[in-house]
Amino acid sequence: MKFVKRGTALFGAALLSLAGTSAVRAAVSTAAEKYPLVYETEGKMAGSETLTYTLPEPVAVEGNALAVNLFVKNTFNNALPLSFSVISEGKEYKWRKDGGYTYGREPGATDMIRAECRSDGTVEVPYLFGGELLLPFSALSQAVSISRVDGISVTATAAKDSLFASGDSWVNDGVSLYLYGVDCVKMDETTGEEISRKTLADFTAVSLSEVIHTSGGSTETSATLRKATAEDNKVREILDEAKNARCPETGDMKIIEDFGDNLFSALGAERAAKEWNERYYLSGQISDYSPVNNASGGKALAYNLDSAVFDAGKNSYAGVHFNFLRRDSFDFSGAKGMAVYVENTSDKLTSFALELFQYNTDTGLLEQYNLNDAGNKYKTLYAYNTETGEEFSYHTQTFMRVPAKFKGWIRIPFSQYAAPAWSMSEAYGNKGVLNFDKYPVVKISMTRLFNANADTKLIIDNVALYYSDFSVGNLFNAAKPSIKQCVESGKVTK
Amino acid sequence: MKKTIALALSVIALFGCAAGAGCKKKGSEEENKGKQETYEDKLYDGIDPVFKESMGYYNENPSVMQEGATRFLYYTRNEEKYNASTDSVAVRVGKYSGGKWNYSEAKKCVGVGAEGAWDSAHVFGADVVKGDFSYGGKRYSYLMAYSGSKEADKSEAQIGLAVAETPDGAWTKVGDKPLITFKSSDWDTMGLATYPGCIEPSLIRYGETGGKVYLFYEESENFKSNYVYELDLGDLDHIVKCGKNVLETTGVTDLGTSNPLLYGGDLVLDTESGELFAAREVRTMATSAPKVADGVQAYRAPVSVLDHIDQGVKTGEPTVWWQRVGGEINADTTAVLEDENKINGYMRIFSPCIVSDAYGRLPEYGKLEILFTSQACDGDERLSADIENAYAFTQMIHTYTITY
Repeated sequence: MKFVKRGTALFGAALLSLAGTSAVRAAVSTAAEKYPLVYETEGKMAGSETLTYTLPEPVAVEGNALAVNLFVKNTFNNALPLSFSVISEGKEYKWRKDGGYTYGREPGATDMIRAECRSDGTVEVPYLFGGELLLPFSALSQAVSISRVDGISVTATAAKDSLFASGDSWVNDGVSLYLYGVDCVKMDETTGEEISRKTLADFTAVSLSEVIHTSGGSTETSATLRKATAEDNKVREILDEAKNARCPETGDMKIIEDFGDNLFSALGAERAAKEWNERYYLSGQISDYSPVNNASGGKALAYNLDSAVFDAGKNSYAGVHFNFLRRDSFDFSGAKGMAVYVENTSDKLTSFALELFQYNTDTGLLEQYNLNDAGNKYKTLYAYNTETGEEFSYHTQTFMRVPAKFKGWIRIPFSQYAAPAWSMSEAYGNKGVLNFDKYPVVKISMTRLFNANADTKLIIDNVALYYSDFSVGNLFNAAKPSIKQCVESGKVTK
Repeated sequence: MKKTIALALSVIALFGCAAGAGCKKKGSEEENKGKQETYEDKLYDGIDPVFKESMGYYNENPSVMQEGATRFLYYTRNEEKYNASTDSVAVRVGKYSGGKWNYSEAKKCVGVGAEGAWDSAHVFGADVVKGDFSYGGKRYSYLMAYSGSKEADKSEAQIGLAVAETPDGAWTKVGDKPLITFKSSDWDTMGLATYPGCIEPSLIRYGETGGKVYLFYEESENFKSNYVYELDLGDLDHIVKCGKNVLETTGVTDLGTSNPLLYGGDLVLDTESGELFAAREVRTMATSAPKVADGVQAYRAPVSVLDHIDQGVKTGEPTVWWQRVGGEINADTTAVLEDENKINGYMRIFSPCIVSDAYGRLPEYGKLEILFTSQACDGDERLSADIENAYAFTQMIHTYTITY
């Protein structure tokens, strides 16, 4: 059988059609109704973690795809590499990349997730995906036709092995995954519409003892498997709601990350703190991030490099990363550049890089963009100090320099972004072409160099896209708005 | 090479120095801390300076504005011979006769500030513009921007203001703080290094009336950049600072750098063509003192360069804003082939300015008269071995005209 090819107009139409059908709504569990299995790891994953479930009795295959209902609550990466297999008549069958398309659908979504089936059959399931992954039987790696299913296994791979990891060394690469169930579904090959469905495993009903949990083949693992609680379901509800909400706007800016302004306020304090913390993840040197209250009653991110934990034997850089909470954050169309509110709490200059990670759907690689440049050209930043009212531009390279005691907005036109010279080598494969209409930005990182910035704390709030052609002050020429005017009274107009 | 006054007078006669006050100074003997001052020739390796003053006095960083038939040449000068801690901004008034501009005696405009002041060690590199300014309840027509430093090595320079009712003074410093401040730690990650700071102010009045000005300057921290600041200085008791913007320099080229600047840049506006003209130093390649440029150049750019920001994703090559105007003024240009003593020209040529009107505008399209500084090199055997760093007191100001 064939599923509609991902990325074609027909496929897109099919997805639109799917999203609105009652079949999909019925098929995809909602968080509040049932209590799924929750599979969590903390800290570094040694390799892979596998859950294996043997069906009480074999079930005959009816349909042309396996449908796995899950929710990736958090991942210390942009995507969680998951691989699946079915056990049939004593043999294990995995999925391959070619011959079919693994894709996912979410209730309410109008487009397909960015699930990528890697060469080894691993699917890169994006952060906050909550819905079904459809795995066509025709794409089983052995190219066989199975008649029954005896068992199912799900393997999570360390984030460092994700295509999206960009070779970074993650301080944490654990996951939190909700598993709802696995079905056999019959899909119309042309329209993508679901025709029939048969349950293979309902993880909301199975007991924990029925699921075998191994780590790299060993039963010794630091990961935990438990049943979801009402609070877990509340978390999903919050995240689902946030995911589908429009990004807040202020002035001419669309805020794509507000660092959790009251996001988890409906939870208990301890759980809220945990959930906030797990939205961000670290790489490189050990660095420290924490929430701080901002002036508007929300949260900002304080990011400090503590010299006491500096490891002189490692590269000097440290990074804190975040994935996009809202679907709307992926839409960069019409934006002219990045804006970020920054406070330098120290009395000397400090710096950080606001790096964009664009997913090149042609190469399947995550491309990094920052203020580096093969030609060593200076880059220009535009700043508005909200305390002094001063507007100014200034030069920088690779990192955004933040003057001593600066408080305010810094704007980076996209024209200033470039692929780092090293990433353009064949080994990394960066094509160096920012094209937001074609390739989505899926992750933003804030990286700093320890040796130059130790013991300096940055407060970062409201990472945004801006949409106006501004000027740096407009005392002499009011044809364009000043940055202050953009911030205070501009509008998001594409 | 020390010369007697008699010799000095003969040299003045030889070079046809007009009966300006500069010559008068050379011809006089002054008591200086109990010592008799002697006129010494500078090293004339090329075209003559626009005025002559004894070795031991540096004449550098010229800025010239012309009002009617009168020119005002502002420059940096030490008040005490062979003493670099006696900086002043001086002015000489020029009148045209005999086919050339003849300049008056130097008159001090501003000197170094009192001990502890931001400009207590050096004042230098001034520029003056005409406009309508008020300060302390008085009205003034001329505004000066100058660099100052409280460091002996001129580092951490900042830019301050002074006002006068007439272009040759008396000048009153505006306040006791600089307009453009500079603090290394604001821009240096470690906060330990020192940098030149904010130097080379260049003023152009915006509009036909009032006190709005463009202030161009060079800021040297980790990243050297040209800036343009939009300022309303009509009420100097309530200065309105608007945007401070990096001046794009695409099109300016130098060997060995990806980020060439309008080093030592002086800018004038041609309102008719809507262009900015800039004189700048080429990038310094000197490995021995003085480590200054060996040539100056002129460039032009549409005035829209001041407001341009490359918004959105970059497509194609960036806009090339600046284009060269005429040839480079360097040793070859300043050589006098007819005079065997001047066939080498000057090895150090820097700190240029373009003659403008009182508002910082180009007086005549098609012609850029550029004044610049020359300086002898350390180690030149003609310099006195008795004077430490004698080369530091050899600077002269010359003129050269580029047509386009």
